[in-house]
Amino acid sequence: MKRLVPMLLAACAFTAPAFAQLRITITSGVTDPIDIAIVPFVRVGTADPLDVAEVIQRDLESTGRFKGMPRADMAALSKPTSAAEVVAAEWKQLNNDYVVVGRVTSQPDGTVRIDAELVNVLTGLRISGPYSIVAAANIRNGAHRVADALFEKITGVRGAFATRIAYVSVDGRPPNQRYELYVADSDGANRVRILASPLPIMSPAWSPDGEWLAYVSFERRTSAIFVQHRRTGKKTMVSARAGINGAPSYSPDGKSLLLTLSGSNGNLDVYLLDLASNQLKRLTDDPGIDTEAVMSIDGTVYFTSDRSGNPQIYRLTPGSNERPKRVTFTGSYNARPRISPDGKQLAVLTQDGGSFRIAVQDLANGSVQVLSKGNQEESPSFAPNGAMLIFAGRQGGQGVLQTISTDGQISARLDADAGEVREPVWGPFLP
Amino acid sequence: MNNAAMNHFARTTGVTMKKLVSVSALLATLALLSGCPAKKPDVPPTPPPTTDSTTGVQDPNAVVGDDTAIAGPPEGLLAQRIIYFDFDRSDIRADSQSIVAAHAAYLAKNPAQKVRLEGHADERGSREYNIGLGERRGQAVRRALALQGVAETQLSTVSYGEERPVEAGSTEQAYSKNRRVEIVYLK
Amino acid sequence: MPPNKKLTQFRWRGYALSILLHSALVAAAVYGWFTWKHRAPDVDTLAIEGSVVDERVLKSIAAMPEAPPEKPPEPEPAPVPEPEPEPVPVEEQGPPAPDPAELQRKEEERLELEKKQKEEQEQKAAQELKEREEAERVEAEKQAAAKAAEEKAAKEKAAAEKKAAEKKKAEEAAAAKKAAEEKRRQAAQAELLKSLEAEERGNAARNSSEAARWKAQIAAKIQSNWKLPVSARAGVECNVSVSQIPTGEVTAVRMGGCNVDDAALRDSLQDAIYRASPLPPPPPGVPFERILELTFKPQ
Repeated sequence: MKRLVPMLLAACAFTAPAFAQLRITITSGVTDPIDIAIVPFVRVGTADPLDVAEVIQRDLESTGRFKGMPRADMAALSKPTSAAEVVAAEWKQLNNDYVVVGRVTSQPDGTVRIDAELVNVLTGLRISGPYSIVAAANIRNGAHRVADALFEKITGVRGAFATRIAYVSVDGRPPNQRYELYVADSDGANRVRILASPLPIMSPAWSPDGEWLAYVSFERRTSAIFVQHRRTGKKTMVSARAGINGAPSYSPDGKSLLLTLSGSNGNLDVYLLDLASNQLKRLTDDPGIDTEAVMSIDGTVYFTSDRSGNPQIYRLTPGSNERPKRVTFTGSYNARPRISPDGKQLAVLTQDGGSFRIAVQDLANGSVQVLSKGNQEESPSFAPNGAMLIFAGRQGGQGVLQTISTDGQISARLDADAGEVREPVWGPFLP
Repeated sequence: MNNAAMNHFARTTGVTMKKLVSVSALLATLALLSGCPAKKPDVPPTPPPTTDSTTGVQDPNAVVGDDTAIAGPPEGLLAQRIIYFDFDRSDIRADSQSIVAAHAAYLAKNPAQKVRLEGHADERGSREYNIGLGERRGQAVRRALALQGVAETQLSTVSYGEERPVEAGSTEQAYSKNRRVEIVYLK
Repeated sequence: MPPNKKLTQFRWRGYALSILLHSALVAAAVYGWFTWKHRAPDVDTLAIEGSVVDERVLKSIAAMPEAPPEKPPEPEPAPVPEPEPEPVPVEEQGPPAPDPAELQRKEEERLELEKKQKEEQEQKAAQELKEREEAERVEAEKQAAAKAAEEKAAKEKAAAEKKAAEKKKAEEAAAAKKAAEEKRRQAAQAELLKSLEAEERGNAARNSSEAARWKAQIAAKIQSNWKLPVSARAGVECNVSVSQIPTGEVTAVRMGGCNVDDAALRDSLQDAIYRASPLPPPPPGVPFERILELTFKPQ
């Protein structure tokens, strides 16, 4: 026996095939973006001036994971309109990883079809697509859908370009400000005003199906919560109770609304409102300020509370008798929680040094990363694929909307609205 | 004025004493209504709902009273309608105590007079939390007034958080001006 | 022809060889273990032989000094003869007058006495002879018995010896077998070591600092071309086989498998390798390797 073991061990050492090869371990990579060339799409029979390739390029670049080839650099190359026409070598020579080609064809029934193909010029062998999107009236939306498909094919993450955002826009200078509520495409284009008021509008929130917006409006001189249908504009007042009505947010099933009420004694607490029965359920009872509640996909409610002195994020389970548990321990001010769609990450407004910034916390291990770099940032909101955040920042003394990837790699500014904009919320995936 | 001169004046200008009086009265009323110092534009006269938290959305029949702002008493300390606060604090500073006391005294003497206490916060931090801060400040002034003899029915509070600043900007100056409770006398 | 096929062929040959060698080693080990476990049991039982033996023989045997069975038995000490019967003492007669008749009678008596004596002596001699013969016979018997006993003992001894010898032989045979096994094992191990050493020598050439530098160069080039996908987190591990030609140009990339199922991750690895092509060539002294086995293990 004594001699058997070493022999076996020696045998085991010789496990590889009986010819030689070299073993190498790779332990890191680079965070460089993927180089992608999106060749201008050819138009067939349509006079629509929209530059689909440009919409796709801006979408992909906004995520920080792609770098589009500048049009000027394409000048000397052929302009393929299908994968078969792509000469991989000439695109590879210019350091591209992928090439996207396509066409926009108007159909007899008035719709427009967008065909796109993706070529991997590195391997020269892999072709994906064609992605064919039929856009009725909104070619821009079709372009976003193509970008979604390309993004998912290359990164494995579902794209969130064909989605909507809502935000508040403010006109005029204090004390004579006017307030408006807008819905727009995720890149800020195609904005539609859905409410205007001389008194403040706050805290818009999307229903899970993207059909309704809940918000706080002071149009009745004191705060009240309304829900409004995005398309029809139908508006319903859901809470105008004495005192403060604030911070509405939908449960994941869309049947309840978390909201903040103060009653007449002015003490803010979190409640859950059943929209069908109008029944209220009290969730917090604490002399501190408890507000800004949101519900995660697993039913946990996260909210801001200053019961420990300064605002921090707490969580509770509705229906449980347990006391709320504190979640944030980094820094002396953490407020306005938002949970990622997969329930794993918490975005907050945090005081970082002397500045207010957006941070993301991993709910499993508690690690915190401050993502943004400005001074006066607030209102983070996750994209429905959890890969990006939109938030409000300040540039040149003006409120602006910014997107940032959840690893903090890239930040982009939406320049759809030149005015003072704030409180962006990212809507859900659209059917 | 002697009658003759007035008759002469009236004949030449066509402006009789009666007309003069009525026009003056009209002008005076207009002057009053134009409201000085006017801080806010007139607001739609929708009465705020009073409702108890557990029943229904609101009580459409409840009327608190016309909440149109009026000028209110102009004398001395009572002309000061703004109480300022320190950052993240809702306790009334020592330098504001006398203002609060003056209004308390006035309101105690005028139990039919209602005021609305409007709480505000500076722009730093989250908006809904700042609604809470503004409300806390309004409640602090409310408690102080109630303790000094003002009836609860005379007092209402509302919080605008950081949404209605008086001064724009991200400076300490602007911040300190915006952290306030405004005492608004109601009709 | 798709480059992957060549790679496949090589790969299968190698696997076959490997399996064969492994099977041989395992079979040898199992056989040796079995043999050692089931060796012939010790021979413990002896047949008991019995015979009737004279007590005297036993006594004499017992009196025999303990001597190793190989030594011939010591010569018996001469048997102590029986004491001769004392001759009848002849009465001495005094010298009477000699009467011729008397003399004759006396002569006759003397003669008769002499004759009688002679007869007696003869008888005695015969008796003695008889006794001697008897003694000798007994002696011979004794000797024979002793000899028989000796022989028996010797036989038994021989039998025992034989058995012992057989046992020894068996043991030796077993030992010899074991030794042969051991030798075979050691031979196999020596073979193994020899081939390992050969590989080591090859590896030494590869593991020399030059070779290590080449590996590092390749790793660095691939690393700088690996655009990390979202899913490249610590804990993820993928194996990839790369075929290259001496110019460094990558001709085939084969995914060996990841511990997560992620198409985007696999594609990113393939892209990284092709982006890094052509790979840096080996420095002089380091043999070119056609096949590279890469493990992607982000930290």
